[in-house]
Amino acid sequence: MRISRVVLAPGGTPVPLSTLLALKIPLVGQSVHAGFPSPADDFIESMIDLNEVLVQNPTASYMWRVVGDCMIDVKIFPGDVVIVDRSLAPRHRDVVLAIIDGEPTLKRLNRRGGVMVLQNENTKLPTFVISEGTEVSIWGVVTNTIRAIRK
Amino acid sequence: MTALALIDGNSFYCSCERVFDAKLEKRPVIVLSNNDGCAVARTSEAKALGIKMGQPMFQIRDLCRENKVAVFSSNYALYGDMSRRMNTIYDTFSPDNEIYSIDETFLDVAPVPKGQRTEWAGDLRATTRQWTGIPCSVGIGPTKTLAKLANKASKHLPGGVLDLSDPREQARVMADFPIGDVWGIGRASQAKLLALGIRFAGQVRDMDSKLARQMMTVVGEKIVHELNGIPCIALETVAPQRKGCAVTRSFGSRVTMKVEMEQAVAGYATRLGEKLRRHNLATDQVTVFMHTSRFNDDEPQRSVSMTVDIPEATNDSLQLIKAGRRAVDNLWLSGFRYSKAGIITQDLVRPPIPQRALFDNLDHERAAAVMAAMDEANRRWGRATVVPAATMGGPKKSQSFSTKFEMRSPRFTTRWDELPECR
Repeated sequence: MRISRVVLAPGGTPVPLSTLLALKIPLVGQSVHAGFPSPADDFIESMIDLNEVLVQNPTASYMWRVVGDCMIDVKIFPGDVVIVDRSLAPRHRDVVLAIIDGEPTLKRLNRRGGVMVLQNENTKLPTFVISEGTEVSIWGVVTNTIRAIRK
Repeated sequence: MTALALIDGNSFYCSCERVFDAKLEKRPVIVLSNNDGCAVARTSEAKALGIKMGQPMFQIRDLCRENKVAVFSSNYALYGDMSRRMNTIYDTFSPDNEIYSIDETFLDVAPVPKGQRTEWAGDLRATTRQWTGIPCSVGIGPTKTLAKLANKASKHLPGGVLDLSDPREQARVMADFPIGDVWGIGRASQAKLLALGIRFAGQVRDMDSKLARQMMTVVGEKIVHELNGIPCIALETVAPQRKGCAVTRSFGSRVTMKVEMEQAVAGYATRLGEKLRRHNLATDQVTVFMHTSRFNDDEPQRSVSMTVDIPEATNDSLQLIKAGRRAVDNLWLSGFRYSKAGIITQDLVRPPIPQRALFDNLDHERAAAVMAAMDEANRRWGRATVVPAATMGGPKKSQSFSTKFEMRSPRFTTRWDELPECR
């Protein structure tokens, strides 16, 4: 059985034309709607897709749950989800997911006189200093956050 | 002139675990097979400890404890998602690819000029590493067997890339490449070759193809041609999505009893139904196949398939199971050790809408409601929370296809409630 053409029933469910032809009867039931077709029919578009604004590169993007408070001054709170893109080259002023001695943590990346430094965004926390021998790598760049407002 | 690249993830399952837990970088990691039976993936550190591929867990429990080996159950949701991401990347490098297994893909590199293939492969590897965190190796050759051989040999190279487009390079590498690592040469064939003093791939390449056929069936003849750069195994690029749908698996251990095969095929039919329902598709025919392992060339071989027509297009798992069982009834023959089976549909259509006003279609509606409830339960509480009884089998065999995952990591990329956490 092949679909030669697809017609849309008023409910929006596609119906293969071949099924209809095989039955040799006019479509009844859901399709019987007296009156005029909706004037919106010609203007129906697909739903807005949140991915379009939240995830620029889905193949390289991963979601992480925030459990710490080191970024609360820039409104990234515990419980938020951050979207982290691994394909982006980190640059000055990015919020990044850094791996510090094996621990994943959010930091602000700043250029200070030719060197890149990682900083917390929480005035209540002591200044973040990388001590000698600490292993640091950048896992990815945070592009967006998701937060539920009504809990 | 054909040219193929084989890219694969290094210790793929272990590497997936390391992406989301950086502390594992410093520890040996192994991943266990279904039911936590034996080691199926090992990092180089774990190999250095002497842990063998397929070694049963009970033999290495103490060794793992003493050496702080991180041991994981298989996390197929995670590995499958990472594999999907990797193949999406590969598609941007070459449009004609064959996904050979969860971590191996053949890419057509004929369009890339000969002198630029190493650079191209380096770029492919670096992009995959950057975007997914998975380290890969790339082997390039004029045939699948040579690409596979190049891939294996590339594992020892710092760049992780080996281009064997050039026959002189092929000869250099094959001169000391052990036959046991050549694609398609199983243990039985290896013993026969060693008896003739054939130890390296280069010697197999120089064998008389008729002799190779006598010793190792038609597989052996193909290997000789392929090592000589003559392609015998074509690139099977995937059919465009939505045209067909398949659920196939290699068995962990060989299947020799009909009841096991029935359970396996019922399981695949259930999964197929899930897939179809998720995409709002249906089918009116399924093809079931089963075969023995072509690498066990010393055992009787059998490969059969059968297509069953279903009166009306459906995505009801119970209907698909019924069709699958009919096929197994017809196809089953004892005395073989089956290594793989699967269920395939070719003709996908939209599910027929119930015409309640005309026909009494209560059965349809009830089936749809049952399937919807099953899908919802499995979505909410994890796959296979609710399964059709046909996939379970009798009391004696009920364990063979259920899966134990006691040490599984979270499904980091596919579950809202299992996302990785950061401070």
